[in-house]
Amino acid sequence: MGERGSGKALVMSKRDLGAFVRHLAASYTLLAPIDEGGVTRFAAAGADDIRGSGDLESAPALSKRPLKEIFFPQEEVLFTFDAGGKVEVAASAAPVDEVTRVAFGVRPCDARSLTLLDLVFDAADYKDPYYVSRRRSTAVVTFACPEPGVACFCTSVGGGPYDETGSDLMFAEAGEAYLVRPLSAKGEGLLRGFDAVREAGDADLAAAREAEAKAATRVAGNVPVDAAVSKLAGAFGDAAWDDVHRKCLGCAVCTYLCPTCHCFDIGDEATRAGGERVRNWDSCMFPLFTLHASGHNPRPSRKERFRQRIMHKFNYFVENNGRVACVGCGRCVENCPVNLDVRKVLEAFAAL
Amino acid sequence: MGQATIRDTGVNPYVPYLAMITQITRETEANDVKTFRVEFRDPSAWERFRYMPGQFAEVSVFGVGEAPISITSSPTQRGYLEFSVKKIGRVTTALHYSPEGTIIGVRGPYGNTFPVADMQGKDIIFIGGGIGLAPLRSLINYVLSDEHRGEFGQVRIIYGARSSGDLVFKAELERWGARADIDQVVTIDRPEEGWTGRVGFVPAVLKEVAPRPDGAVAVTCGPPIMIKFVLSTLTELGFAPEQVVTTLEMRMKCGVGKCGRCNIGSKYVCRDGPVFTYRQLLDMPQEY
Repeated sequence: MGERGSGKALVMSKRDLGAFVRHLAASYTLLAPIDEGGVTRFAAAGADDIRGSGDLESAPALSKRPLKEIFFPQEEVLFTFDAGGKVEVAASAAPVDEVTRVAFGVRPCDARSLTLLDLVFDAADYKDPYYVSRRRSTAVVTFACPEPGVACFCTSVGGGPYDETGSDLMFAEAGEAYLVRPLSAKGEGLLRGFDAVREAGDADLAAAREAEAKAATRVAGNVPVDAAVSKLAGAFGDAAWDDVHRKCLGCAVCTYLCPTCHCFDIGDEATRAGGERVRNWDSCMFPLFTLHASGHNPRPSRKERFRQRIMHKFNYFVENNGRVACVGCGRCVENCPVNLDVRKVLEAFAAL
Repeated sequence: MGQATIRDTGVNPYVPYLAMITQITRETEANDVKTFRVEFRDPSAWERFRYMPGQFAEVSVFGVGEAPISITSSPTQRGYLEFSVKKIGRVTTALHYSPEGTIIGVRGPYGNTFPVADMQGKDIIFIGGGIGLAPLRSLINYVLSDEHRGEFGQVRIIYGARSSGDLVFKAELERWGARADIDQVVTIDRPEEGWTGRVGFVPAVLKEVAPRPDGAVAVTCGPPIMIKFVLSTLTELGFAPEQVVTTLEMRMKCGVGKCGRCNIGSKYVCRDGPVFTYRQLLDMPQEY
């Protein structure tokens, strides 16, 4: 194959997708949605672990657990220390200079979420070396969503089933083939040495456009996010909070499964000879999250904690970064045990 | 493979410098507040640990965890850091059981600083309650240092605690009180046998002392209830919200604006604070 410019469309037969996965697996650590007892999550996978292996014809559906955990794991060791306090930093924080991992079978909402997490962990003032190293060593291979799910509302938060934000290589269905678009140097690198692609012709592009137009209309939710964002700016003290949180159990599944939630706890695990400083996902839905040692808690009830979650995503994050911290993946909607639907909450505030 | 060249990720913000506790001072009669003087084991740490009054550090007791503690020493005191710590949670209790010679972790400095540049040429009124004097002490000693005393006007200190046994930095209070260029009032909540100083709550004493707001800045820290009444008393005395500065506490983990718990509205106390003017607080949600 000759030179390819970023974004230049190529075509790969669906039959060759399995071969491409094996091509990737030969050079990179593959991270793909793996079924673990009924829960799909991104984890290290062999080429054959990916559904269908040799005759693979489509990417897996949106994983139950979000993509973030391959960059910001639920639990990780930051460093170890011995009894004298001698510190050894985890290898995961070491600077990296090459792409060694491929996240394969990512959906556009999850790819987009990475660009929001970057604003936190790869910020101008303090960089999180664990996240940054994993991010830089990983190429993201995304599959557009021809059939969005019932809880999806990506189009309401600036994304879409064909959104390319955060992806390095994008696959989109075009009839019996995939339109394959390298979006970065990382994405181009993945195609190097794989010959079963050709440049896209007009017919391929037309087929892809048709699928794309159809997909956009299938995203059911049309959530008034902009209106909600503008109302929330003055709604901290609004009586509406007394109502909207009532069903909430404070279980935190919405934050754990959210691809953009980034809150964490840091603590020590002591051993006889020293110990580890570990980081774990944490959640604003828990009372301990903000409890002072004195007993004072600035967010003492579920009302304040629920407000924090909504305000952080749709007001505070917007004020600090200019973007809503939501990609419309619908995981919080689908997994809430009491059907507390963030879309309805946003509608309620938009209507104030 | 390998097209993306990755820059050095730089300093790891989660890894503390190692420091040794070199001196422990018991501050209160109940022994629930101690001041820990610490020195970095690697003196080159000072090149990165340049702080100003108002900033804090994450202090580690290895095997127990970390807690955010304000730096009570002044940057004009070189070669060591001091932290005054109340024994109240897991980490602070473990610190209280750590003898001199213990190696602890210190990372930072974090947060903003007292607006020292804005205070130049102005009179400064320090209003502290209990261990709330700890963050103020850094600024007091900075202002009183030979290097900087000339940059500021009159200095007034109003400090109170529940009882004489709860007053911290007693030796220093005596030194400050003896200086001709400082007007200092120390008060306790209730009368005690042998106590010759003032009696009364800090806001009431502040009202009696009635500092003039012209060309002045008030800096306050103490229990939340004290701060609340100090703010209203200062307003009564004619201080504009811009002339009043305080410093807040929050539960924190990372100290660098990522772990998500110390925010008040869109402001992270660890990064945008801990020092705020009363003006800023009025514009923030009342959630602290």
